[in-house]
Amino acid sequence: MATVHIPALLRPLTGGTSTMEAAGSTLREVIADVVRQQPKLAGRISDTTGLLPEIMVAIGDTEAKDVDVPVPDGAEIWILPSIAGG
Amino acid sequence: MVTTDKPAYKVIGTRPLRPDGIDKVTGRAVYGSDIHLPGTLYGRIKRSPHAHAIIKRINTAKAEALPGVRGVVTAADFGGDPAALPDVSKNILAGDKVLYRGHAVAAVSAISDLIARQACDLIEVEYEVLEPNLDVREAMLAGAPILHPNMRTRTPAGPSENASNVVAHAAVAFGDADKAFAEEDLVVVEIETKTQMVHQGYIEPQATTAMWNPDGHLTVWTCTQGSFPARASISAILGHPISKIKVIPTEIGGGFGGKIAVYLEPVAALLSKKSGKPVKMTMDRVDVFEGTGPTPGTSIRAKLGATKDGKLRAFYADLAYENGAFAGSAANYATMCIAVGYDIEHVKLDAYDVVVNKPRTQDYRAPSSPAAMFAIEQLIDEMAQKLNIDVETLRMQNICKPGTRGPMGMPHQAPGHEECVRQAMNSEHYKSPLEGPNRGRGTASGFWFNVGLRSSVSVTVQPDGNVSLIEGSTDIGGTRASLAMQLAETLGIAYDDVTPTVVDTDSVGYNDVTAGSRVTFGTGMAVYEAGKNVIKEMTARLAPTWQCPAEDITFEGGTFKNADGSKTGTFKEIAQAVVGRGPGLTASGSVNAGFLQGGGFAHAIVDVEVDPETGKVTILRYTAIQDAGTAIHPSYVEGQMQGGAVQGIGWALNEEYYYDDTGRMANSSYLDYRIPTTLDVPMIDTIIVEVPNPLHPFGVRGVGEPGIVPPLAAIANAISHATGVRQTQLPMNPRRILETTNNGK
Amino acid sequence: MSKRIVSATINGEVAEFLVEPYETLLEGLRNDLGLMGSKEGCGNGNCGACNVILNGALVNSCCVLALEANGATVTTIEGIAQGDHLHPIQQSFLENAALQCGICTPGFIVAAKALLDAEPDADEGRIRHYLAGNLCRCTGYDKIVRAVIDARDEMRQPAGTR
Repeated sequence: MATVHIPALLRPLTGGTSTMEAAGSTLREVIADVVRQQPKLAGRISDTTGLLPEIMVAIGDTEAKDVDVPVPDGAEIWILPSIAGG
Repeated sequence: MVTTDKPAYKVIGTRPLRPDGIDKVTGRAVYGSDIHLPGTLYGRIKRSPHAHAIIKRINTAKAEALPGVRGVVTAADFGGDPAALPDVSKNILAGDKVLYRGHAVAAVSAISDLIARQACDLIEVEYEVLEPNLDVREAMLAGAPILHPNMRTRTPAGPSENASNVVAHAAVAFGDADKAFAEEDLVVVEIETKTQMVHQGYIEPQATTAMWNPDGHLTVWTCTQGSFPARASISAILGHPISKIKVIPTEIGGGFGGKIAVYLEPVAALLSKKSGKPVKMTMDRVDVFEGTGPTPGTSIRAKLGATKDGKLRAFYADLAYENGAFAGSAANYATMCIAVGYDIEHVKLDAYDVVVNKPRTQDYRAPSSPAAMFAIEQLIDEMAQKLNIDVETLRMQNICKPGTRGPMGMPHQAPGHEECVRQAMNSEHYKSPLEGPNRGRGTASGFWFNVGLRSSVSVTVQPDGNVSLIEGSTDIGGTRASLAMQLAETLGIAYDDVTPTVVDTDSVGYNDVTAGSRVTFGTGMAVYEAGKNVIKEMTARLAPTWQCPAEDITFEGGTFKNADGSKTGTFKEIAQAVVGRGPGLTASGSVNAGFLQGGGFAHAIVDVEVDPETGKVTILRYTAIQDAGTAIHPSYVEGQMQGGAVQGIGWALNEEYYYDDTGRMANSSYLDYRIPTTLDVPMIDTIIVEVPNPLHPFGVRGVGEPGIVPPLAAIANAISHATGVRQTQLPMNPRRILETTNNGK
Repeated sequence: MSKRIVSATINGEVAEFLVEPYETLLEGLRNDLGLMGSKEGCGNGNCGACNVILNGALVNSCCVLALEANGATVTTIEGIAQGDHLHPIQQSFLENAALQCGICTPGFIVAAKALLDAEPDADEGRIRHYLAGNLCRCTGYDKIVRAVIDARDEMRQPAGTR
């Protein structure tokens, strides 16, 4: 099980839920479980080619660059809106 | 000032001359408007005189009949999928509505600029004028005129029932701030701030030339912060394949976030397609102010609670950010910055992105952070006064450390905030007393992310052992130098042995924008990668000559060596042997350095004098402190800090989009908008803090942006100490100072 | 309106070119003579990016008609260096890292030359006052002012001791 943090920007799709527990040994599986629990998040975190460009995901304090990275049990996963700047 | 021991670099940390320097001091450097192809036509934009109106009819017949006119286009000519980038497309040429004064409605090409301008005047547009929304809080009210009839507010409870100007309401909560404020015994300070739109103010107006060949190949010369993202936008708007578009970046005369979005490029392309000739389009300064994207005005209500001994416990902010005419995510950025400098258990933020009848906002150096810090950093100052604690001591007592909850809730890794404040406290400036009437000293902190994103470079080893570095990140502030230095360090050669060139989108792999303080960081990683690949290939070629396995050859400090040390050679010697007499050698480096790169903190100490007669604020002394991770080229790091500081000083004291009731910007010239001049600022002292970034091979942090954040609050704090009156609105110009201080008396 | 001939000494050489009567000197330099070093930042004399020296006086070339240059002597950024020898002001801008994007640099260098030619002993206050008509958005002016001070010191040394 991992704890998944939902960013404020996506909470309109989760009815305000900001954290949830999700199962999976890879990020792909965890995201699938998140979407199973919150169907409106379908296609808002990743699609068939991987993470959406407007989304970044960190497992612990390390950024996940793709969806096939392993997720250790008890991990804190942060789904975050991407940023850039001026 | 070096704060941490770092490896003994040979090139990094030195101050060589920039490779583009001679071209720039002799006038030879080629910028956007310096491109001139044979047979060029001139394009001009017809802009809306109204802030909010329905376009009922556009008649271009008279313009098209004017001798010398070669083409007229409107939004109807865009061929892209209407669902792709609809806002960007409608911002470049309005659809059925104009949403701000200066909004483009049509464009003309002609054989001279004068004829193009005359033709614009002949385009007849019939408008049904609507009431404009010019205030972010009023635009949020029920009953306000609606900009986009289909827009519903995204809220945690789902989309709003009715159309609204509020794009989104984001609710962020850590701990329970409401409960802490209600139940804990806290000292509470509150503030309500208001800031106006300000412009990046780059000196070079947007300029582009497009040539559409009959075979469908489109070439676009433009001054952009990102030739690859520009190519993608042009492709989507026009519905033309990316592979048939080549963007050639020119030198860029400043950007600061304002030259990420495309404006003229797709329009020039269409006009070129219509005429079969190259079409050049430039903006004048009024176009730049009225028709490009400034940074949002804001309205923020914030309160901060601390225990009597100075432990920050709870923070609440309600932040409303103007997005301008189309939806953005400005307030969302603010939520990620406002409370990251401190360890505060309970934080609650309500953030609203709001559309108003002003230009569609764009990023401007640390976007959204300065206005957010204008609020919280004044509360920190106010709290210190209320608790009778030195403000820097209060900061240090609550400062974020590795593991403290950081941006968006994730823990900080190696935040440099503590080191910045410590060095500020140790500085000669901070230790020198400020004396004299009407004077005050202020301090403040700032933060902005540092992103990595995607970069590609290639490195070619020349027969004489020098190398050329081919990159696609357009160079705004000296990145050709900072990247060449990293390559020289990687290869163990001299800086002068590297020749860096910025090339077009056909000539190197993908590069994201020059923004987010990322080029020295992210493209630097690609350079490091490419350098390592060069060494690998040279080692492989060397092995047969040295009659040993490649694994036995090491490369360190610029020297190749075999296992027993009996054979050695410098990079140059080996290059001359294996490349000079062998096949050519080009190696590339491509990275996706992601988003989360730690971010950077900045801090400022400023002394001001307030003239009680005129209300004029004079900056007596300013010290900028910033964590650079590792300063590759210290002069350019200082330059970023000083430039950011002075932009912040302008924002604090003078700059604003000043609107009349009809939504007309009344100060759309440099004379009236008035960015700082040499006379408005003193020398800007700098303290470079170096807390190496564990995520970069040389410890680099991006340095472009954080420096603009502290000045707003630092100056407000200084004025408050000089006058005894807290300043809550920007700009703090003489009129505002006189009004507030007289009321205060 | 028909075009007129302008004959002027530009960067030490006589140049003749045809201009529209309404054309600015900046447009004439850039479009007719191909001297692209003078830049347009505002078009109305606010920013100094188009500074040239006209008969010894610093002007914003966007606010001068090209016709007004008839018979005049004009120095543009392209005429500041002597052959392959950079002028001390140009060298000082490089060494002080006094430019970032570089778009304002030609104007600053021309303005600084006009000042130091007329007032070789200008102090920091005078330099700041004189350069207040040149806008820079990148540097915060610190390194520009230092560059001009250094160039002044370099230029003040008697010939032969440099």
